[in-house]
Amino acid sequence: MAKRRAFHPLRELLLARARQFYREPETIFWVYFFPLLLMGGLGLAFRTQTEISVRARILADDPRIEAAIRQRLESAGGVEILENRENAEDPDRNADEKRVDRSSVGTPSPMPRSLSPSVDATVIASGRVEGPGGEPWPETIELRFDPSMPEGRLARERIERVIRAALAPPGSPRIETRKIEIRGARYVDWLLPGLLGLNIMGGGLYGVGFVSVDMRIRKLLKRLRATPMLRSDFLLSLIGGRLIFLLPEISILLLVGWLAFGIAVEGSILSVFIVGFVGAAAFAGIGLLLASRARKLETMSGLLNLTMFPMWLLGDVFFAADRFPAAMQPFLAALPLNQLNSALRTVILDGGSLVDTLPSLGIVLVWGAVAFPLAIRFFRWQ
Amino acid sequence: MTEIAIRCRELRKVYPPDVLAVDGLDLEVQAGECFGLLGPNGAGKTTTIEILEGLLEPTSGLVEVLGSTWLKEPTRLRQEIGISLQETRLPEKLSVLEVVRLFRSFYQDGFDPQEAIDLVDLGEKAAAWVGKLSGGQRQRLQVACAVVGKPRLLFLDEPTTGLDPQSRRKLWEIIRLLRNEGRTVLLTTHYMDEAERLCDRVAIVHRGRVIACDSPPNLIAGVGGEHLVEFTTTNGTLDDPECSRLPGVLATHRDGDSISLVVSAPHETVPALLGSLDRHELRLRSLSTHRTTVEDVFVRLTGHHLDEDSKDDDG
Repeated sequence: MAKRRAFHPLRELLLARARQFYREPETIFWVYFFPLLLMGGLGLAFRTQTEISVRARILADDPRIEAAIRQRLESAGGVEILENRENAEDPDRNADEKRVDRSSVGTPSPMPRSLSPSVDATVIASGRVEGPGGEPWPETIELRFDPSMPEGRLARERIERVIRAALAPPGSPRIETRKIEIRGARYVDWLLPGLLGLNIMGGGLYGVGFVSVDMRIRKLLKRLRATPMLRSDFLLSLIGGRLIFLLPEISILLLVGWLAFGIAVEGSILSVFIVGFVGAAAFAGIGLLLASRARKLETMSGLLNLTMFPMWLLGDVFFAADRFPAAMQPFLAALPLNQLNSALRTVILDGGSLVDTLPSLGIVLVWGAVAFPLAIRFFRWQ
Repeated sequence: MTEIAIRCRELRKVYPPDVLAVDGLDLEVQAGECFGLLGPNGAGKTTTIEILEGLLEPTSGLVEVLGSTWLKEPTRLRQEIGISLQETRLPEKLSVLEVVRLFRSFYQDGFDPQEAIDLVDLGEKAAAWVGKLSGGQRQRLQVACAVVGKPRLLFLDEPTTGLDPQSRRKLWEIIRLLRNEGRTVLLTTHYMDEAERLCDRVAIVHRGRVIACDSPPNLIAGVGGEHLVEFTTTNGTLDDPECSRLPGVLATHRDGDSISLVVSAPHETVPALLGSLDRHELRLRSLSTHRTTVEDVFVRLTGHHLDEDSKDDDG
């Protein structure tokens, strides 16, 4: 007859994991509050994205022509005209061209140019004819912009529209624009599932990988190996711990997303948790695999950075992965974070069911299914 | 007939590429005794104990623990032995009770965690986090984790290294208590006083071999006497025949200009020695007498002191 065991090893191991996790204030911050800060910060920063004004400079031989163009651009809105005090009197166009080139084709930056002080486009007017309202108007207008910059393209579009409107014959239709905001299509809507995915990745890699290397360094793994503890209980406690910590992780992010930005989950909340669990388990496997040989925390930090950094950039979290070149797409589609995020967006944004997430979730599962056996095979206990 | 708890024959362990940590070590530990592996750092003690604990594979040799081997019955052996390793750092943010409960959960049978904590005299610290414990308290917690499964055989690797004298004595008391309950204890140490006071029998390990194995009194008797008289002189020296003519002198050893006499009764030897020095007009620079210790045995056998690190392996 089996004796009832007063102390169940898996329960005690899980309790130990949970206690250590919740007794570490730093962990709590990074796991639960950092994603909120990211969501808050980025959600607010990009809320005004459609309001971004572009910066342009006007160079004209005739100050009256410059004033005419300026007046039209300013009344159309959305274009900020930079003053060029000394440039107006500067007869040397070449010197100015250099300046234009440097300022508009200078350092490439993936971040919105609204953060940088340089010019998005330069309008160079030359020659003089009689304009639409009888005032002086340039013969040619050259528009310089950097097409690799979103602001450059936006500037071109806006300036061109204003100038064409000025030249349009009377009676031609006016274009009215009106701002609308569709819930679910804002940046922050798109961001939230990505942050959830990012957190699930970080939790799996750190919560399992870092923790097990730390235990190896403390010779705690070796000490546990010296007891009758089952290895499977130990591994289950690491993964189980992750799943337990995930519940508040997902809940807090969804709740704050809903309260602060009105992001509603279109699909079922249960599906979000199931997708999250699958992702957490897969990343726990990857974390365990990365940790299987490392004997130093430095080694582990390097391995984790090597794994996480590409996915921060390419993982469909902050930048949409489908904007990257076509040649990269097969590689991106193989990344576990991209597929996890895609599954999360299917449920949260598109209201998809679990079945709809299967193509993505399948790839996440494959990662877990490959990583786990390898991790167990190579795991170093001492 | 006494039961054998541990038996190993011709144990060898080579670490790649060619570091010989254990070099044909033989050992027999009887059930119920407290047995000490004594040797300097690097002598091969830890490698030996970890092979016996089933944590390392020997390169060759026979190892039997509690009548079985690690290949045959790993699960039963894990249940029946308790281990305290060197330098384990238990989780800082768990309490003493939580840690002992965790270790208790791995064993089918065992003490109540609180009972194990009381046994190592940490009752007042049961709720304290490991991070707040002193070195001696942590070491006692290690022992609590090792005994909580009521092991028949207890392995303690350097249980008192780095502890202050008071903490060491406290641990000795606990180890004696465990031995008196009928558990077999195998410990490693490089403190000769620990081996002498705590162990029923001691194996002196040097360069991966056992060079002597007996009870501390017998080991000391093997040197030839219970007392040592050591002296140095400033001008000239007393020759060996002169020394051995002194009453009660069993042997004479020289180490540089220091002479040590193995004697049976120092109260007879010392006055005669002083008289003899007087006759030869030799002046004493130093004179000391002490009881022969296991340290003296070690020095006699190896020509090294216990606190010198062995240079040829990593221990």
